[in-house]
Amino acid sequence: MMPSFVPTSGAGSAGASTVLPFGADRAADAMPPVLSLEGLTVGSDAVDLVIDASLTVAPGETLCLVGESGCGKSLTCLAAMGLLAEPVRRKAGRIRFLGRDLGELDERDLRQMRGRDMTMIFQDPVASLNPVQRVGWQVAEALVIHEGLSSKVAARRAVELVDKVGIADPEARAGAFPHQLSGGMCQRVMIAMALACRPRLIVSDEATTALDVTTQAQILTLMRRLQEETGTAMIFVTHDLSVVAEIADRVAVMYSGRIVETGSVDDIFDHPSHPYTQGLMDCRLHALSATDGRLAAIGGTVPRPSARPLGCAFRTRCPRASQRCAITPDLRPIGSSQRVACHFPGRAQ
Amino acid sequence: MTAAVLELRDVTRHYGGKRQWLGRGAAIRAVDGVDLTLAAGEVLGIVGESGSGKSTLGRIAAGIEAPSSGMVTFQGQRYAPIDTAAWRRQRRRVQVVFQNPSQALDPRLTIAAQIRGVLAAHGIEALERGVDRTEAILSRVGLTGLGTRFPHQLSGGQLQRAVIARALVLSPEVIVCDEAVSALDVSVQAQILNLLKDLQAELGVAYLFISHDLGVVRHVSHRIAVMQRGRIVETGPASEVFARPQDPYTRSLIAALPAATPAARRARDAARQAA
Repeated sequence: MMPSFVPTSGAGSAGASTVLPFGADRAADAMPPVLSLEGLTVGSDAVDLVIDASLTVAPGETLCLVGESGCGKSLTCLAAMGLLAEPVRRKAGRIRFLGRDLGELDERDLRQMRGRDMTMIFQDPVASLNPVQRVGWQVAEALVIHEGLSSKVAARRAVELVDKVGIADPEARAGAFPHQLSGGMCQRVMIAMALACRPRLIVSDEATTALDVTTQAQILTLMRRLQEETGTAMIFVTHDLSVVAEIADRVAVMYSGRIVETGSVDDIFDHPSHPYTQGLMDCRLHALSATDGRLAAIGGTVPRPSARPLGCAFRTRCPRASQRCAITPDLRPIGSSQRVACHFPGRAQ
Repeated sequence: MTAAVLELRDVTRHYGGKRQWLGRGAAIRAVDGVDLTLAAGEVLGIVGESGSGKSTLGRIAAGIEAPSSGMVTFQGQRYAPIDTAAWRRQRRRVQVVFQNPSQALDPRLTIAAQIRGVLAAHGIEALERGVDRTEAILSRVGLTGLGTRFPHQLSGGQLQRAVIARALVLSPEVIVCDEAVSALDVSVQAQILNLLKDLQAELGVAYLFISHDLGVVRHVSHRIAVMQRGRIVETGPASEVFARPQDPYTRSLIAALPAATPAARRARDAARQAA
């Protein structure tokens, strides 16, 4: 069981038997992706909540999944972690993690992977931690379960991890209960838990959304630094475009279950091409740039998954919509790394 | 814009500090000696991090919580003691819009019924010169024809419009907005901010706009007050506070703002590295 703990940044780790080369469609992708979704559709019997989603995350890369509530970004993550719960299930498509098809693994295999190779950080750290267990033990637990360390050794490692995520006086704090720590500190503990076994993939679902700006800035800096050190791949779910500007290498924008645009973070900010992405960019507010008068709001509301219009789901709110939009647009490349699912991409005049 | 509609003088709110088994517990000073003036038709933004006391300040300003000491006056008159008839009359003039609209509405009543209920509670006629007040206010906030819906049949943005309609139907002079757009998606948030702005221009209502989101506060506010640990550490015109923050705490808040674009982030990181 040792190979999974070999540092991922080392060149030798590519030899680990679980890592299979995966068809890289871009020359820049020298390394096989840690995670790839191929045509993933998730939903219940009645409705599809994620539709035909394809994306990849490479080692050391941060992919931001952006979209509004109900667009399917969290479900995409849960599917990737093998955490979907009835009645929602994977209806089509494949999820490959370190070259293995997650659909072929049973719950036991998945449980071994989660917390060791792939970890998840949720929005509300206080709700995610066990209130009646000391936080140090909650960090140590994964080390005992996955690495077979004795509780004593694991506890020592836990204190190191608590120190690493920037908690002052780690020895004392490791012995604290969640209610004795602030929200920011609890989120640092969650990050320490996520890092404990040096995972290949960290999925963070709105992990900084509930935090104050100063705490958020610290946590984002911390996550970037730790990622540089460990080469972990990251999926970062957020609805906040300024968080995207802070942390993303690549971005996938989701709307009503579909990925409507992907590209490098600079592509998305410099020339957003899907009208929805442009709408999101236009109604941003930033304290350092004055916005006077009315905001360019996107009219209307997101359709319910059970009542999506035929074709492009955005067309009922789209200024550019025409009859052609009744046919679902494919995600087509424009430029070198950008893809957009729109019949009329680019800036409208 | 000159006449003060709401005035807080040296307002303090302490929690705890009650007699315990052994001695007295330490009091938490949620609000600690705050002076504030809200002019008629003005938007005053209150920013601060969680625990800074901004929500407590909002509740005191709205008259739904009494200060431990200090004075709150509305149009020159002190707030009457809570739950008296005079207090209820004043409550009509200062309304509150909270963060979570689905919790602010009764799930068992239609939107129109809830608005009519508010009118009835304050003894206001349902009709104003032959026009149904409820229908008029619903169409004003963009909910034409949706009064017969129940809260679960509306989206988050529509629910917040309903809450705003319920506050506005009483024609208040002041609305305290406590994180009123924080739970909404960005595109919906923009719609609601536009609505609040339009209503303010049209009706001349003043807002005490409380939010942790500095971008939102800057967009809506004429003036801003920055709160830290129960105190106001800086006030000034919105653009001034962001362009030339005086207090170290305000500066640290602004420094912690995420970058607006990846290019801005790289420029900032390079500058920090050089420093």
